[in-house]
Amino acid sequence: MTQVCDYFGTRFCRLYDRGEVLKAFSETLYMVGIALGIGVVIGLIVGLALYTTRKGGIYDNRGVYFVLNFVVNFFRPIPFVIFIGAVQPLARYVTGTGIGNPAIIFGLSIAAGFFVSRVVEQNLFSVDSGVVEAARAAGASRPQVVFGVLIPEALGPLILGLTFSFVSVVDASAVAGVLGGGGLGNFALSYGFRQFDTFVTWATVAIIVVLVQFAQLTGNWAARKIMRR
Amino acid sequence: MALVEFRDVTKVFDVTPTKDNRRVRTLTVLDHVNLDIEQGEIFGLIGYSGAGKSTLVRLVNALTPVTSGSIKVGDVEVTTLKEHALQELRRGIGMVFQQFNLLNSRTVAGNVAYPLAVAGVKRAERDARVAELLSFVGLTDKAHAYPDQLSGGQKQRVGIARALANHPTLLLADEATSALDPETTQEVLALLRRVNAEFGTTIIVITHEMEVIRSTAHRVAVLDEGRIVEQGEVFEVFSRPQSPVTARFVATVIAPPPSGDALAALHAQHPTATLVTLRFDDTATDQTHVYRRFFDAQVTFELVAGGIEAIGAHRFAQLTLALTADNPDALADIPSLVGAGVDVEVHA
Repeated sequence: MTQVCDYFGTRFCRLYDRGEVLKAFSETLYMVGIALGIGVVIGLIVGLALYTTRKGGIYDNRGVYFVLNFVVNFFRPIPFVIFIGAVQPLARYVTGTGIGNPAIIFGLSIAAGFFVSRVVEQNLFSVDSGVVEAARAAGASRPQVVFGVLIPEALGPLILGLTFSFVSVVDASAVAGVLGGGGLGNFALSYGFRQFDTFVTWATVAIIVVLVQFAQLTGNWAARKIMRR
Repeated sequence: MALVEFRDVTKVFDVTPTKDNRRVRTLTVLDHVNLDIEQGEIFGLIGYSGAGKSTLVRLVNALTPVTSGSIKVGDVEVTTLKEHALQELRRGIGMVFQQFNLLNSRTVAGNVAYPLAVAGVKRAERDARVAELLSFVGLTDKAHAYPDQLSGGQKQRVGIARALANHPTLLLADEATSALDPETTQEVLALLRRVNAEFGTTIIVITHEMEVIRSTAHRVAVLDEGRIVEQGEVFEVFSRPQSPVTARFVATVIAPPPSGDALAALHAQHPTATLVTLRFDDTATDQTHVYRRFFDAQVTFELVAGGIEAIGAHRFAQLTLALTADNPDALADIPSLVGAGVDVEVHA
C-alpha cells in the first residue's frame, strides 16, 4: 500500500489505515445484503402474484392484479433519493429511528421489493405457457405448478435478474448519506466529492466497480450452471 | 357406454376488443357438439386450424372451461368438477402436445416422473415406472439427457412416456406429429398405435393431416367452424365423403377423379373412348368381377388414372378407365354394365 500512497497522495491511504474504507465497504455489503434479502422475499411473492393473477394465469384474478400492478407502477419509478425521504416516517415507526443505516435499510428493502417484483414477473414470462399447461394436464395443483414448474423453469433468468437487482440496490444505497447512513456512496461523497479529492472519489468508484463485476460474474456463472449452457 | 360423451357442447370465447372494433365481441368456437368416443378406440378429430379441435380436446380434461353442455369421461361429469376432483381426473388422462411442452429444467427421467411425483407416488415405485416407460418408448439411454439435447421425435416420445406415467385410460394427442418431419411422424404414430394395442388406452388424435387419420384412427369426426360435419368409421368417411370439407381432406391423400384440364387431356388422348371413374371398396365387391363383365360384353378398357389406397384394414380403389367397344350399345348403360356395388362416375 505504501508505494501506491507515495505515488497517489496519502489521504486515501490515511482513510484506509483508519479503517474507514473497509468500514464503508462492509456497511454497503451489510445494507445491500439485508435489503436485497428482504427485497427478494417481497419481490418473489409480489412478482409471482403479478404473473399468476394476470388474465389467463393460474390464479387469474383481475382485482388482485389491478391493485398489485398499480402499487408497483406507482412506487417503482420514484427516484430513490426522494423515496427514502418519503418513507422516513414509516421507517421511524418500524425500525424506531428515522436516520442512519436502519432507516436506509428499511427504505432500500421496500424499493428493492418493488424492483425485484417486476424483474421476477418479467423473467417468469420466459417460461413457455405450454409447459404450465402440460403440468396442469398432468394433474398438478396450482402450488405444485408454481414451485415445481414456474420457479425451476425460470431459475436461470431469475438469477440473472437478481444479479441485475443487486447492482441496482448498490446504486440506490449510495444515497444513504441523505439520512445519515454510511457505506461506499456516503464515503465517496463525504471524503471525495465534498472535500474536492477526486482521487478518493475515483478510488471508491473502483471499489464499487470491482464489487459489481464480482457479483455479475458470480450471477452469470450460477445462471449458466443452472441453464447448462 | 362411451368413454367420453359430448352432449350439446358449446364454447364461446370473449374476443378482446381491437382498435378497429372496440365493442367486446364473442366468438363461438364450438357449436352444439355431440360426440361419443368409445372405450379402446383411436378416435381422430380432423379440422383446419381455427376449427375448434384444440379447444374441444381441452374441454375433456377441463383445461378450458365449457360454456354450456355436458361432457362425461366415464361416469364423471367434467364440467362441474371442483379443482381437487379435476386434478384427480387429469391424472387419469394423459396429454401429448404439438410443441412437446417438456420441462427444460428436468432430465428425460425427471419429465416422465413428473406426473407421478405430482400424484404422490413413492420414490422407488416412481423410478421403476420411469424405467419401464423409457424402455417402452425406446429412450432408456437418454434418461439423464435434458430435453434440449433431444431431436423432435425423441422429445415427443418423452412426451408420450410422460403422458402414460399414471396408467391413463384416455390419451389426448393434440397435433402430436404436426411439428415433426414425415418419417418421425410415422414413428410417433406407430408408438401411439402400440399404446392403443398393448395397453388398450383410448386415444383422441387431433390433427389437420388426413395421413395421420388414415394410418392411425379407427373412427373420425370432421370439425368445421365449430361443428361436427361428418363422423364415422375412417374407411366410410374416406370412401364416401359427404361434406365439401371432408372431400377436401380426402383429396389430400386420395387424388380426386380427373377434372378440368386433366380430364380434357384424357379425352384428347382417347377420343373414341368413354371415360369412367370407378370406386371400389373391398367390403362390397372386387375388381375381377367387374373386369369379367367387361370381357363378357366385349368392352376393352385401359387404366388411365387413379390408384389404390390402404385405409385402416381396408383397401380403397379409385380407378379411371377409358372404355371402348365395337358395338356402341355395349356402353349405353354403364352402371348396369359395371354391376352393383361399385360407385360409377361417367365423364362426359
